[in-house]
Amino acid sequence: MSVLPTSAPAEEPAHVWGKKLEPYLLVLPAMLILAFFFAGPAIYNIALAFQELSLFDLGREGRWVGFDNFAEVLTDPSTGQSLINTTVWLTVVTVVLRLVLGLGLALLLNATVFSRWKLGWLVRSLILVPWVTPPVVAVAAWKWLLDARYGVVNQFLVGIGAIEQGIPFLARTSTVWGAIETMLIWRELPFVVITILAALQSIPSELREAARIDGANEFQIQTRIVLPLLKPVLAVITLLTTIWTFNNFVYVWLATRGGPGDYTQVLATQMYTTSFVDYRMGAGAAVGVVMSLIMFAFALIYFFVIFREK
Amino acid sequence: MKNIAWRRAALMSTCLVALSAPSLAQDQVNLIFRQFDPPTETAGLQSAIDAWNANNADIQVRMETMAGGDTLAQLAREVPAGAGPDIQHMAFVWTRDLAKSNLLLELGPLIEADAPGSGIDDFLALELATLDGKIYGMPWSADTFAMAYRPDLLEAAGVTHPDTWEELTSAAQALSNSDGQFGLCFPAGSSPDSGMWTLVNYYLWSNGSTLIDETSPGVWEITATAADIAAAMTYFNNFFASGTAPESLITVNSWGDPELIGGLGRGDCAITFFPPQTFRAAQGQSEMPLLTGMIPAGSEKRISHLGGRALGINPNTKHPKEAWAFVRYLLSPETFKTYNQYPAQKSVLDVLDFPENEQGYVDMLPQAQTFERYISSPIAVSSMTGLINREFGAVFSGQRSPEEASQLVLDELQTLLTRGKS
Repeated sequence: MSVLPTSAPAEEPAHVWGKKLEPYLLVLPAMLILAFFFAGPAIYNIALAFQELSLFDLGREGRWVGFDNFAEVLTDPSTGQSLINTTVWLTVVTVVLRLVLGLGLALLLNATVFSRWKLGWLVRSLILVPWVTPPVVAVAAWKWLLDARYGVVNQFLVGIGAIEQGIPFLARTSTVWGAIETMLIWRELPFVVITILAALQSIPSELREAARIDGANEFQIQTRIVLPLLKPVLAVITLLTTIWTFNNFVYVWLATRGGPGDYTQVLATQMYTTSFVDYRMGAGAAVGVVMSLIMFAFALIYFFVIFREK
Repeated sequence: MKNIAWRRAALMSTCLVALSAPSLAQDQVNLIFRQFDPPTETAGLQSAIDAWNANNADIQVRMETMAGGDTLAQLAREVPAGAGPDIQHMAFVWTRDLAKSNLLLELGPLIEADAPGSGIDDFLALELATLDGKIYGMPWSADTFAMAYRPDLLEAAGVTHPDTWEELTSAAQALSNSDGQFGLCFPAGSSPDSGMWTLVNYYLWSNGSTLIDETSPGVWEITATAADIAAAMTYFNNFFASGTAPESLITVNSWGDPELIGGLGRGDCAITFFPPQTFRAAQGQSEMPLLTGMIPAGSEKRISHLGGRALGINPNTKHPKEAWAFVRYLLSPETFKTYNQYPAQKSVLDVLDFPENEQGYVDMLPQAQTFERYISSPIAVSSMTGLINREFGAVFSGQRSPEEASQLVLDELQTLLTRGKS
């Protein structure tokens, strides 16, 4: 019968503790970075939403006003209009159009004819051009393209006799949302196309072959085989583009500043105007918190979809 | 032997240079001057700064340029955090807001020690840079607006320089034609920084109205009526309704927009309004000569606003004396030899030779008034600007009638006033 050294039990817990701590120590730097760059500002923003604080007094503590800023934001009729603009015109319309166009283009680019003619790399590169263009440049270029007098779009339409004189697309309520949506879709479509294309290329060709042997036509293959297999990717794209677009400030601000009048005002531009035009950082932060809560709901759906698939 | 001596001498001199270089660098003060004129208009200012740097080896200044719309918010973020440029270029209307929150150095002691120019009373619009009797900014450049037009187009249409708002309407009608020439162009955008704000106030003030006023000491009231504001909305909207102003201007916010600057040169626009430096840019792009004239008169008077830029010093600067020396240089007539702006000093302005085509500014400057009436009020000027531009844009685009929009303006002004007082 052997006797264990008395020091052994004392060493083992230390070793076990080290093992237990190791994963936490490994993720600690990442957690600290996240806390510093994400959680810190987010908590500050939430605290700001409960204060009355001028832009010029940012270094100090504001006057605590409870839920007054939220009450003001939620009862302001312009918030309702901004929410409709953000949800319907900016987000739903552009996400749906991006999905439809993106799917169509991806299916087209996945055609064997491109690989047969060795043109796959070229079309994939071309489709990425809008995506690599900075949004500021894209909007500036589109504003010139849509200019009523000197814009290519209007000159073309006048040239073919479709209209008698140029249309100021960004000045009219009947056309302004269409113009903004065109800019956004043009710039953001490549992400959808490339992601769907990657998913399409990961579908084993044997599945299509088997379906053909079983007598399925091309339409049936696309609707019964390809689309169901794309469903998880489409769900992720839908939720990601929804979140990114709902929060987007750049396209509306650079194209119209929320005008004409307040016709294209969205929540992001309302937040900016409240904070940096009216100098009311607390009320602006409250708009931001409301936006975050709506986005949180989207995120819950996102995680639900992801984990359900897994 | 000789070679060794030479090597020793070289080594010693290298060591001396290496040792003295840091101390020389420590003696040199490096300042940052941040300004927001567009890069196309800063060549003269850069020349002036280059001249300063050449003559002041111990105080070197680097110029930073930032977009005007971002500058104020950037300062409000940087200064409380202990950062920011040493010297800041500011719009007149910012000074008090920044001073109220201690974001500017009080200049009193520096002025007392070394007064600039011909003395402090020589400066225009000093009241806008003063808070509770203390000076926080030095008025640097002054400007106003004048009517800018193509005399050849007016002559061809048999129109003389319109003297009143009514005459401007008739002139615009006569100057518009089906070849794409419009009588009047102005920035009618809805952005919070749109130039529409300027024209609206000229119209209201000249017709005896103002948005808000101090009716008795410390008592602020909204003095414009819904009818006054609706009349202004109807007046400017008629240019779009009658086709005498291009509808595309409903998206234009800046006086310096190519639609306006280039439009005058190309002959797309016959008449517009410009501050001096924008007029010069337009003249630079126009093959035909341009002229300036007075702003139209209303039923009560003819008026424009006295705008301009001020210079402030960051309370965080480690070199206030050196920063003040540079500010004094910027205020001097020497700077204005290359800096293409009107100085905000009476004595310098009086001896300035205005080009003949800038006579409109000479005529308007004595009739120009600052935005003091709004700056002192409990409402942030930027909020009023944003509200007016938005609602005029709503009328121009047909979202609301002038009556609806003017009532909205009054209601929101009342809310802003109540909030400002509290």
